Amino acid sequence: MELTLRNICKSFGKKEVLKNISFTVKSGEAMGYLGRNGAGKTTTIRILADIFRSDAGEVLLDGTPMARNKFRLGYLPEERGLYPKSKVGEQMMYIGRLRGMDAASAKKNAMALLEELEAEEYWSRKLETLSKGNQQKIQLAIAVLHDPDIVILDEPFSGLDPVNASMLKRLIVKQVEMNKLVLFSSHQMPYVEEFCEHICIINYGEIVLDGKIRDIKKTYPRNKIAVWPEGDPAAFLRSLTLQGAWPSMVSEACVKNDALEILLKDASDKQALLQMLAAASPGVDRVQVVEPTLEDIFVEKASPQGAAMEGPQ
Amino acid sequence: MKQMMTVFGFEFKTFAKSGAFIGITIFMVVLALIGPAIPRVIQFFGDMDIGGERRIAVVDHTGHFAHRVGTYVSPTAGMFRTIEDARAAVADGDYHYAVSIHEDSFTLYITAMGVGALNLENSIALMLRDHHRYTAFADLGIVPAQQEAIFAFFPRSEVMTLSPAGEITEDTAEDFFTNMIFSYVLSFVLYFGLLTGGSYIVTTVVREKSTKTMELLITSCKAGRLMNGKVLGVAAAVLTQILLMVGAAALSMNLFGGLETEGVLGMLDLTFDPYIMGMLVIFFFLGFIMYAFMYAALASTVSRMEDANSIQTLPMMLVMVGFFAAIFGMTNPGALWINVLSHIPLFAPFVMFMRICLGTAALWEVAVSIAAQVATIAVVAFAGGRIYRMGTLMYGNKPRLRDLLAAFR
Repeated sequence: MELTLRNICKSFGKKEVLKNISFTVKSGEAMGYLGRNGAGKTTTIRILADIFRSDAGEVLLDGTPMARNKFRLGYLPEERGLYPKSKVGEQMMYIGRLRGMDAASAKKNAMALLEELEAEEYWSRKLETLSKGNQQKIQLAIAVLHDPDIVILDEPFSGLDPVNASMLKRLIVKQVEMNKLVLFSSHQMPYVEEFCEHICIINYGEIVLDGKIRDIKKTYPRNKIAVWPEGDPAAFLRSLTLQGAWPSMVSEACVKNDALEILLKDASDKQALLQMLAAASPGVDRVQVVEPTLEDIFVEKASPQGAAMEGPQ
Repeated sequence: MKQMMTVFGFEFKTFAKSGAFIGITIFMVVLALIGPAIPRVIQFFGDMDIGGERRIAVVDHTGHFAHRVGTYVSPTAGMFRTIEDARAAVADGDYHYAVSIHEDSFTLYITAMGVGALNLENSIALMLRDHHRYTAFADLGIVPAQQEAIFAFFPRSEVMTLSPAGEITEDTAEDFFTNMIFSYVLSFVLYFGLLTGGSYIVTTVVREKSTKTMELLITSCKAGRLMNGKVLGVAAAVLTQILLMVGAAALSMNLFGGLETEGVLGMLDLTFDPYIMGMLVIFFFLGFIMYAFMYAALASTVSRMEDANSIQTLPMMLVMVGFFAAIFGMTNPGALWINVLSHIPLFAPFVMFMRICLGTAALWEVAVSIAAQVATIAVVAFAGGRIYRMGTLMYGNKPRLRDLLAAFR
């Protein structure tokens, strides 16, 4: 299954919220849809979930206009809300049946999901008696209750403690392994980096970056080197700066934690730097090329300046 | 249909299990059980009755009335020598009223003005008038036996009810009274049913919007089915509540019906006309869902709980027009304005049902009214569904009329 957004535009009044949004997500992959607050993530997601209609552009499923009766959709809204006075089990059964399940399979799936999320004891409890994190687990279970083909999760990790976040992560990974098409928005970059191959960054209603994380990182110059010397890093740095070739090769260097972080003027100077390090005394424990983190990329692309910059696509 | 029935079941169960619903149902059922029994219980114990006949201290300055007071005024009247003694007896609480009677006038002493005091004043005046007539006849040489015969005359009377086609029906004055009661019952029940059920619909729709549950629901089910299921579920719950109340009232009347009742109490001996009862259920259900769709559609246009009350004003004003038209229209159910209002579907549940109860509505009028209400419900449901679909996802400020009209494009 392949979900494609093509030139989606959406305005509210005079405010243009989405400008020609286009991307493609495939079954068996999780796409991280990233952006700052107000960038247009939730509006895109609502259009995908057929809550809003776009003003222009089209949403295609396997190349044809998306029809809601052709696939099962699992959706976790950004703001969580169910019926606080109703019991968890009743609500899960209700939503499951609304999505076309019979009572027996709705109950079976609901119980299995609650067990997986270590929340089976909440079946008979009113939602309002659960903590915020546990309410969120119930919501996520409801999103995937009916074995959806497409799973859209808006900020699924917000407000979760690390243990619950890890459970949630396992559940999402499982959906991907089951060849589901998963799209989620998040601000928690480590989670995104951990199990997303594909990311898409939206800024001020425009896609500023779209692609596989590995490919994106490769487009950045590999000129940042981390060095872990055997002795004191500060003394080691001082000794290096005395080398004649240092000023022509290095643009910036500093001590960060137990390592030196060296920014070369040109990535092709890596070999020359390695030779210099090999000759240095005391010796060196480890040398590594530092790739930009997803957070670095996000900050670069989603900052106001980033919007104007032309980044790698 | 399956999805709508799922929503129907969930809404019915959730509303029926809510504390407010259970509380109101218990209160209404208890009221319906004890209401009809109260006058009978009071009469059974004989402490006081409902007809306004109470103990009276009489001072007769003429000597003519001692033997008549029991007949005209009260069998428990006590005779006193002076008005001071009589007033002291009232002050002590042994008597409720005191009266000082002269040849052609009397003074009544009361502790508070009320219907009982006015009735008593009339009774004493009647006693004095009759005494005056008897004396006058006697002066003319008419003997007491002849006088009794003259005064005993009272014309026989009969009230016949004509159908709208001009034919004499079998309805009696008792039927008229009973049916008038049912007209009141529907008006009150529909009014209060909409107060609770309509308010519940508004609250749940606004809450679903404010908590964004609506987004989850709308991705699981079509908006029209959501609204229809919700409205019908709540309507069924309110109807159940009403049937429980009517059942309790019928049971209570049945239990206490064996007691001898007279006057006001006798009016409570209602007979259940199957046609009227059937119409009561039909008109209640049609009226409720017509307004409930309106409530749901309007509720979907606001997203804050504090706005929930303000959007109830319009349907509530329409309900009140129908409600008061039915109540005031009972004095003259054949009036043109009542006829006109009864054919407007929004007011028909109140006004047409009142005409049915009072026998002024022809069968064809009833059939046309029901058809018009069903058609109106279809229109309101369709329009409501479009507004609901658009309104459920409209956040922020209250919508303008232009926004609502956009839903139909």
